[in-house]
Amino acid sequence: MPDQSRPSEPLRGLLRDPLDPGYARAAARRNNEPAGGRAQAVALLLGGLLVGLVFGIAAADAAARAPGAEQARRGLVEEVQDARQRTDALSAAAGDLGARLQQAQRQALAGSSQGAATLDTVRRLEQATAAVPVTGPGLRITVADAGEERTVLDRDLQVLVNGVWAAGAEAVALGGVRLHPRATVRQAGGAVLVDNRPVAQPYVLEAIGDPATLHTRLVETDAYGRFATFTQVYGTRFTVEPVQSLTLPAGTPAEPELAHKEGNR
Amino acid sequence: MRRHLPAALIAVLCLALGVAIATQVRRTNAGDTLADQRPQDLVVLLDGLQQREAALRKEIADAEAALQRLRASGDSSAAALTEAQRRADALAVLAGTAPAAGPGLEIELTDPQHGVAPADLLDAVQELRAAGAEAIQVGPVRIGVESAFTGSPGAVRLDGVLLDTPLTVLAIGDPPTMAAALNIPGGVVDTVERAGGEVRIGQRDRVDITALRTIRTPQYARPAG
Amino acid sequence: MIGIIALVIGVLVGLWLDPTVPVWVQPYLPIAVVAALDAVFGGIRARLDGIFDAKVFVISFVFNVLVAALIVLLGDELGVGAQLSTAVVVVLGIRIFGNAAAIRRHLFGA
Repeated sequence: MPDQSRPSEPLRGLLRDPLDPGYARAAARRNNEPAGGRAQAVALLLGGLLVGLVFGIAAADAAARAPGAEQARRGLVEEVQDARQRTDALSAAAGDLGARLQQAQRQALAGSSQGAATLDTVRRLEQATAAVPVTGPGLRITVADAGEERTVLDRDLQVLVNGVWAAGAEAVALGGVRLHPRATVRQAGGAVLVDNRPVAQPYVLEAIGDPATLHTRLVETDAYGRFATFTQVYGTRFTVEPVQSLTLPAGTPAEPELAHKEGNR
Repeated sequence: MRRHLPAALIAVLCLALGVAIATQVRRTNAGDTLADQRPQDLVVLLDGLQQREAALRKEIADAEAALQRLRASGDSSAAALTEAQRRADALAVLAGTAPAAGPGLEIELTDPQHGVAPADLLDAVQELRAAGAEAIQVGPVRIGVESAFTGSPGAVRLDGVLLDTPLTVLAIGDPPTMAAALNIPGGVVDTVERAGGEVRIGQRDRVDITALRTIRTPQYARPAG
Repeated sequence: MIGIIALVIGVLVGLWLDPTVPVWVQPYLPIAVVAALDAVFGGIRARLDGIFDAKVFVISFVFNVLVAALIVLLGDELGVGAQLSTAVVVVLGIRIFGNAAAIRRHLFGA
C-alpha cells in the first residue's frame, strides 16, 4: 500500500507546499531572525532588477513580434467597424432628414395645383425607383451553400435577380436590402455586398408579384436552371416559397451627379 | 441584514457569472465574421462602406440644403416647387423616364460568332453600375431597375427586345472609372473577346441617352407604412 | 520596498531597451517569464511568512529560469520540446497558485 503512494509523492508535495525550501533553511540558519544588512539589500535590488528585466524584455519582444500583417489586419477590422458605425448613424440621420424634408415640401406645395401635380410626379417616380417601402404578395427564395466551400458567387446571385425581374417581379430585395436602379450585387471574398451592404448566408431574395405567375415564369429562366444544377452537383440549398405578404424596405438610390435631364430646356 | 450578506453576495456573483457565460457564448456564436476575413476582403468591405458613407453624406447635405432653401424663402411655394421639380428630374433620370446627358462612355460591342450570352451583358451592366454609372442604355433599351436579360448567346433580349449587333452601349458616369471596370482581367472585355467578339470603349465628354422607359403601374406592390 | 522599486525599474528598462531577442532565445522567453513569476510569488509568500531572504530569492529565481530553460532545451533535442515546455509551465503554474493561495490566507485570512 505505501508503494502505491510513492509515485504521487512529488505531486502531492508540490500541491501541498510549493514554497522554495531554501527560505526555510536560510531562516533556520539565522535562527529565525529576520534577514537584514547590506548584502540583503544588494541581493534584493539585483533580484528585483533581474525579474523586472525578464518581464520587460519579454513584453517588448512579444509586442514587436506581432507580425506586421496581423497588425495591419487588425487595423483594417477596426476601420471597417468604425465605418459600419458611421454609416449606420448616417443612414438613420438621412432617414430622419428625408422625412422632415418631405413634410416641409408637402406643406409648401399643398396649396397650388402645379405644386400638387409635381408632388404627385415625385411620389410616382419614387415608387418607380424603389425609394419607398412596398408591401404585397410574392416569392421568397432562399439560397445557401451546402458546406464550408463557397459555391454561390455574386454572379450567380445577379443572374438570379435578373431571372426574378424577367419573371415579372415588381419589387426585389436581397438580404433585406432593396434593389434600386443603382444597386449592385458585388463580392468581397467571404461576404456579398448588396448596394454596398454586407449580406451573409443564407441569401434570402424577396420579390413582390403574383406568387403563382412569378414561380411559373421563374422556372423557365436560366437562373432557375443554374441553381437547380447547383443543388444537384453541390447540394446547394435553393428553395422557392410563395408568401402572402412581404414588406420590402425603401432603397436608397443616390441622385445622379453627372447625368442631368435633357430636353424641355 | 448582516446575516443575509454572504447569501446575497453569492447570488450576485452567480448572476454575474451567468451573464458573463451568456455573453461569451453569444459572442462566440455570433462570431463577428470580420475577425475571420482576409485583408483583401476587408479592403473591399471598407471600400463599399466608404462609398455608402459618401453617398449618405451627400444625401444628407442635399436634404439639408433643400430644407434650408425652403426655410430661407419663408416656405414660399415657388422655392418648394423648384426643389420638387429638381427632385422629379433627378428621379426621372434614374427611372429612365427622361432623356439624360453627361460625361460617360460610348461602347461598341461586336459579336460576329454569336457567342455573347445574356449573362455577359448582365455582367457589363453590373460592372458599370458598380463603377458609378448613373444612366445606361443598351442598344435601343433604357436600363431600369426591372431590366432583365433573357435569350441565348448571340440572340440576347433585353426586356423582351432582341438586341442587334454591333451593339452600342451608352453609360453616363465617370469615364475612366467605368472604362477601368470593364477592362479588369476576366471582366467584360475579356469575356466578349473570348466569345470571339470585340469591345471598343470611347470616353466622351458628353453622352446623350435618349431611349426612355415607361413606368408600369404595380399591380401587387403597394406603398407600405 | 526596494525590491518593488527595483522590479519596476527593471520592467521599464527592459521595455525601453527593447533588445532584439535572438531567434533561438525566443521560445524560452515565456518559460523565463513564468519562472520569474514563480520566484516573485514565492518571495512574497516568504516575506509574509517572515522568512524572506533576498539571497535565496535571487538564487531560486536564477536557478528556476536556468533549469526550466534546460529542461525545455533537452526536450527540444529529444523531440518532445512542446510537451516538456507544457510540463514546465504546468508545474510552475501549480507552484504559483499554491503560493498565491498562501498569500491569500495571509492577507484575507480566507
